[in-house]
Amino acid sequence: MIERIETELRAAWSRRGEPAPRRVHCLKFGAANYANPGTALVFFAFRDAAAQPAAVVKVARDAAGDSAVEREVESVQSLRARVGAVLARLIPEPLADGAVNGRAFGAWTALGGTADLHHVDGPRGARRSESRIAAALGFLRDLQRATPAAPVRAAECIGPWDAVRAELAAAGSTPAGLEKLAAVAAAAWETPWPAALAHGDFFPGNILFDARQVTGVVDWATVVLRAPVWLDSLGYELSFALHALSRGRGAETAERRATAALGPFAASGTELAAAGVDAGWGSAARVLAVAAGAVRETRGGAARRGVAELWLRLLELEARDFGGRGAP
Amino acid sequence: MPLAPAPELACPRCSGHLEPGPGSARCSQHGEVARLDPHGVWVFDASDTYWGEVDRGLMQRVLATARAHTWRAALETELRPVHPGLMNYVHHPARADWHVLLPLDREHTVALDVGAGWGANSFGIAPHVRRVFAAEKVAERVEWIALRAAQDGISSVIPVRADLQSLPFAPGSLDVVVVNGVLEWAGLADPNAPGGRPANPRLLQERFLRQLATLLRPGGWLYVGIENRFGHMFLRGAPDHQGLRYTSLMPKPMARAYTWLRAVASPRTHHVERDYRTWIYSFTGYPALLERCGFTDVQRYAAVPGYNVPAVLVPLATRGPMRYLTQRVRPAAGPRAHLRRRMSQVLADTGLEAWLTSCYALTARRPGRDS
Repeated sequence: MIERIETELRAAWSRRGEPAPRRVHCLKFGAANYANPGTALVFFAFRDAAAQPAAVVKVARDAAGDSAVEREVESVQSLRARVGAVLARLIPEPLADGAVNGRAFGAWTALGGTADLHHVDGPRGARRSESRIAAALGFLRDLQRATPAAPVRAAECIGPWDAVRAELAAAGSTPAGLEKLAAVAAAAWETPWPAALAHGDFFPGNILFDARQVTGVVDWATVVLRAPVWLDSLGYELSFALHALSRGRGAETAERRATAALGPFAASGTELAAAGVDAGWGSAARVLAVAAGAVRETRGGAARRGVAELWLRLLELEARDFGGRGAP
Repeated sequence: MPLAPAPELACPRCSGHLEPGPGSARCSQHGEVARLDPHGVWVFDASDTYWGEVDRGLMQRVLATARAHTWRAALETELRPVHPGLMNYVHHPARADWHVLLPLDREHTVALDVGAGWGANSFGIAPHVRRVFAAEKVAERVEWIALRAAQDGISSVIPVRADLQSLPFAPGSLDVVVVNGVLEWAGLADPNAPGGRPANPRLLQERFLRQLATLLRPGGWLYVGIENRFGHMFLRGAPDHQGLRYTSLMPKPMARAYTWLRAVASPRTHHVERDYRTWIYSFTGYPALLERCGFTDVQRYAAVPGYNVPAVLVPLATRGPMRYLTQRVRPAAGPRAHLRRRMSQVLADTGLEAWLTSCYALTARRPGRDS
């Protein structure tokens, strides 16, 4: 497979008038975790002995992967055309796409910078990362300004509350816990929110930095064209908050940030833990929205344990992308 | 009409063509060389050998449940309660992610998985090739593969029961040969051969590899997944294949003396072997071994976290990819996280990590034209 990837990349670089490398080295990265093999194999392609990849390639693993890779190819192309030159520089540039041994592939230029998975690792880490967090949220604001959409209700993008509730119940949540959750969530579910395009998986592992500057945002396979504007920032904030809470360090900072950011989906962390939220995880957005409440009121030990469990589940999801090492 | 063996199958003694007989395959020179068992598996070696990750009794219970119900049910009811850590090992397709290193073609590629075990690698590459032979000597493991293939309706995985030193395939008939976690055991093979084993296990390993080179078509590919004798895991004291610590780090005479003194039952063979025979090699040792056996164009990759879970495959021909990886993926946070990270960066920057990574994924080719 990597030989064919090399051939495709050489052709793409030739079309762009770039000099041909003597050797191309493909590093297969992650997405082989047991919990879920993922939809695509990810490769970083290095020209000669360079220490930074020149291209990122995704090859579908199965039929579901075919559509995911094709969707990402289309999303990135249309997004870059839509957001203007400044933002487009932060989105990978398409190089090639097609099929390798019958499976869809897409290749994009690799963006410089490093993903920072430890933005919030204790209070000191949080303080050090403040400017990068602000830069990442700034990117989101710019993206939303560039891609406005008609207002949207949570019910439209996450699914009807009744369905969510049924899923939670099917997963073993207690009726009492669900009642309390419903009292908070049901009303918010019908609120119309300002909407824009959302990345869909906006967490520190997908944001590249050089010092304090965002140099790129990757993994556009889960773009939502019309989503509440809080969707990405919610996931982003929550990833810090839950990480810090699960480690028992930087909790105060994390709670402050989370409380400020999470707004309407507040439910008691205790209730959520009692409800045994272990459900579905089919929609990361839904998980985040529900878990948001847990963060807001997480102060007691039991509740914190509940949140830690949630975080562990999220870690499982994220670990799929990080080769078994776990994310942060 | 008798069932004909697949065209790639041949007499294991003379590589001659096989003619189908009633429930058997015959070589014009050596007569009947294989029998078709009730599961439709060609049996070229009917010896009563057993080795594996679980003891024979458990393996037979797993098989009984798989026969009565399904292979998945057998794993859930028999294996998971006893060995939960083996669940993914025995069946997950991600174990075959090394396939990305090879130019497989699902219309044409004919592959051989030598020492297929539970068949995880064979089933893992099956969607990417025309057919894959899963060659395995242990009857229970072959039956498992046959049951799984039959129950899932996968006709492209063909189990074959054979000895790894006498593989029943025609010369030049295979496009890809997979040796995942097998080469190290080749030094133990054939313990009852006339005249006994060679004193040097490497001779058996070389014989095994030369045989594979012969079976590959010119330009065909070999994949080897194996440990590094100087890898981090052995430096940290992980037991070797024969159950002893630090033997791979020792000079071979010392390792053999130490094994003679301290021998324990191998976790895989369940036998006590008093000679150190599961030889593994180093960053430069593997290319030298493969080239001696007729292979060329050896490419080395670090398989992270290991060759049985090749989540990350890092090309080691230059330092760039490993340097990038150490920058991109940080060790888990902890009191010495900074030190660990700095250390891994130094190892990557100096190229030492290539020498110390725990496992390698190696590809090599049989010289000749690429079809």
